Amino acid sequence: MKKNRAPDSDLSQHTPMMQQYLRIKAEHPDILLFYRMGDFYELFYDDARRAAELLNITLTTRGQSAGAPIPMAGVPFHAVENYLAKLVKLGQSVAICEQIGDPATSKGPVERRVTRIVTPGTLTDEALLDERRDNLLLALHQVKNTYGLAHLDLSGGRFTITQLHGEAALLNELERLKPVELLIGEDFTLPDAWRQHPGLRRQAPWHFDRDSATRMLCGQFSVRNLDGFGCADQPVAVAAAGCLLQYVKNTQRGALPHLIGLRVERHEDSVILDAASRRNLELEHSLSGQHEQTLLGLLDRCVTPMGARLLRRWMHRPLRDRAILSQRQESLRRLLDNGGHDYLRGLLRGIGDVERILARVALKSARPRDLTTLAEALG
Amino acid sequence: MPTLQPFLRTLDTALLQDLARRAGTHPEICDLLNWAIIANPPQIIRDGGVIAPGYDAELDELRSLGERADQYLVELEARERQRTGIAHLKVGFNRVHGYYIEVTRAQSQTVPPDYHRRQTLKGAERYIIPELQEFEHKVLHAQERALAREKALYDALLNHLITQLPILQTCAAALAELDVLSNLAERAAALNWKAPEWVDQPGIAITAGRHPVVEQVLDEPFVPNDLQLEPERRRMLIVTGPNLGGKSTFMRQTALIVLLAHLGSFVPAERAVIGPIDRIFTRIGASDDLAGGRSTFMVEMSEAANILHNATPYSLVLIDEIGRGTSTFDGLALAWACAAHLAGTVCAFTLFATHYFELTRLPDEHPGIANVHLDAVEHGESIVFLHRVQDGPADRSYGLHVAALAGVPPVVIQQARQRLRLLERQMLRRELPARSEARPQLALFGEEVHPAVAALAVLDLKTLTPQQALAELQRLKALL
Repeated sequence: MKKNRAPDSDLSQHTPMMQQYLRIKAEHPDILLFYRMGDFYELFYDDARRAAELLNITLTTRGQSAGAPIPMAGVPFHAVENYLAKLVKLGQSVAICEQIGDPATSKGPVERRVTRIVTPGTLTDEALLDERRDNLLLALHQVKNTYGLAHLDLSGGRFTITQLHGEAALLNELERLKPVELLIGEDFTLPDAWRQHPGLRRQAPWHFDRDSATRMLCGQFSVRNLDGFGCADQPVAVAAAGCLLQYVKNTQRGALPHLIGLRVERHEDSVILDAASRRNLELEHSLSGQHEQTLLGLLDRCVTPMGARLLRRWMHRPLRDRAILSQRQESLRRLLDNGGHDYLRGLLRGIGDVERILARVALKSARPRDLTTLAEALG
Repeated sequence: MPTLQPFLRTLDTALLQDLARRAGTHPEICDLLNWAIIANPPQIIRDGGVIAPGYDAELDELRSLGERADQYLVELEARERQRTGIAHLKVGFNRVHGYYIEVTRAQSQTVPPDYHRRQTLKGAERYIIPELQEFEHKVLHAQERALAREKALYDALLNHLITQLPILQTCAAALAELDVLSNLAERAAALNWKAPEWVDQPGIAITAGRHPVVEQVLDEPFVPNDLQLEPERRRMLIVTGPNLGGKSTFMRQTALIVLLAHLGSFVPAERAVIGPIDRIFTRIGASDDLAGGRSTFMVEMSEAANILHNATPYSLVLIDEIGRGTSTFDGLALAWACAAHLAGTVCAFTLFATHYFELTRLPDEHPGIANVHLDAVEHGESIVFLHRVQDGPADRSYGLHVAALAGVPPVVIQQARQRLRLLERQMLRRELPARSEARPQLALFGEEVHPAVAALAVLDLKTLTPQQALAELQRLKALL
């Protein structure tokens, strides 16, 4: 093993191409680097071993560099989305390194750069997402017995913070949100059930600095301070939000114009269900494993994916504010007069996933058909 | 959207009007998109063909260069045929070599001097002439420029949409909420759910409540049940009854009705009146947390601890069979203490299902606790669960009943019955020495097997002669 591991200091013994590879890889030490070579994305050294195991692809070697054969594995570029889907399902993140320069005019290795980082919690591609549930990235910060949580649904543009006291409350909240990717400090100790989470990412302490978090969030939302969002009493959660925003900016490598504000969720505004109750009441997982035999399975006949996701959020966060609840009831009664609900459902059917299309517009990854769907929805 | 707005205006509730306002109409954006993008565009922008004709003059011009090419090539072909006198001369294109003029090998001797050989095939020669070369350059360049132009236009379109993001996001959120509300209305109509009523005084009163999911999967009609929880006399209900008798369903449906009410949904009940609720706790079932390395009992107790620490007088607590994972006395003692603490100190609204029959005496000591039970009756060879919740404790002999009906041999049932009584007597002496004889339940515990009954039970009628039988009968009579 030791013998053909990439040496970290002396690059000069390597071939020019491997020098370039190792320089780029050094910027992404913890995640897989897909290095574009013609029609393939190649992985080397430990990345190659990990990918071979995770993707069940052949581990081979490529020539020699620094006097040793280089372990290598690769996937064809036209099938890369399938492999990415598989890896993010396993909780892995992948840095995609493309050829930027023109191979015909380059002297030495063609110029390459990491153009995007695909992580489980920052997906926006339709093909990689479950359309009826949110895909959440969560950052977690702790000061004494207070936990600050920030979670983001990048594909919906919902950025939310909350502060809690005690590990039991933290565990309930994690069970409620079920984030696919989790950012925590290097010295943070998670509750048992979450310690083996495949989407765990340890972040250095300065990522949770409150002042720089506030500065960055103000910059993102173009405001002078965060008071307007009602988070003055949420300093621990604001620190977590800063860490989260920094991480997303780094992985997306572009602006995030659809993140236009923070919302604060207060624990006491909702009817709290602990993790055990969510399981026991079979809200969305039945003991028999059949989705139809759960509350959500019975409840969700929504005609748009964004409606289905909203209903799921409502179910997982029942409200105590009776003014809101009464308004909803009143609206239900009104819709039930003369079958108005059926007519409305007919109008909404096929309107598509406007919410996620808008996120892709914001990230400039919207496809032509996203725009025609949007036009149909608005027309 | 144009049909949506007039319809929403007819729905005169504050929330629906607000949603209509937030959804808005966006004719400019819609028109722009319809103008800019062709119908059924390709999957990706990379190869172009996405921006509609008429949207951008420069793009149209670049594209028409390519389209006019076909016409030009037909003309060129005719012209060259005439000039060279080669009737079978053809103009063609391939990706590697570009445009060419093709003649057969035999005719290749007669081509003019400005024909430059580009490619030699088996039976043909391909040439290029300066005019065609210049044309090729112009066409290919135009295609490249058209593609670049398209990408720039697409990018500008996205940038324009980005300036409109806030109102479009507001619109999307409103559409999602309209979907959820009409979905909840549809469910209420389809499943016969009713609007819950809110009250400020603490308590829960449900008339003919059902379990929404179980009701759907059941073959026979679901038996609805009432529930009354109020702070003074019925803060806690001790739920007893046979396994499979419906205790768990009854408890879960209560939690689900309360939960559904707090989404703004209607609920599966004839009537539900709900006071303030801050939390729902459940401790139901037991499974070993194998991954976490904790025993059933440990899991059970940590869940119980969580409830005892965090429940308030506004909490709804469901506890199903606590204390099972340990010895009978430990378990009973713990179950008793948990129930007493929840009812007396925490004051949470609690449904407490138990197989410890002794807990049915809790109401004697705590005014806020009441007994309810679910029954089963024998029906011919089988047992029928009534699924109906009634006041008072269950008939305690249901376990042995069920065992007998399941075909456990009578002699085993008899032994079990004797053992049960023995255990209960021992327990009374050891655990509860101070109990008063006046308690009505005591008769159940103190009941002894009559010697005559015991003797009758061990009698094997098959081996008796009629005379012996008569003698036995006399002996039995003497025992009375």
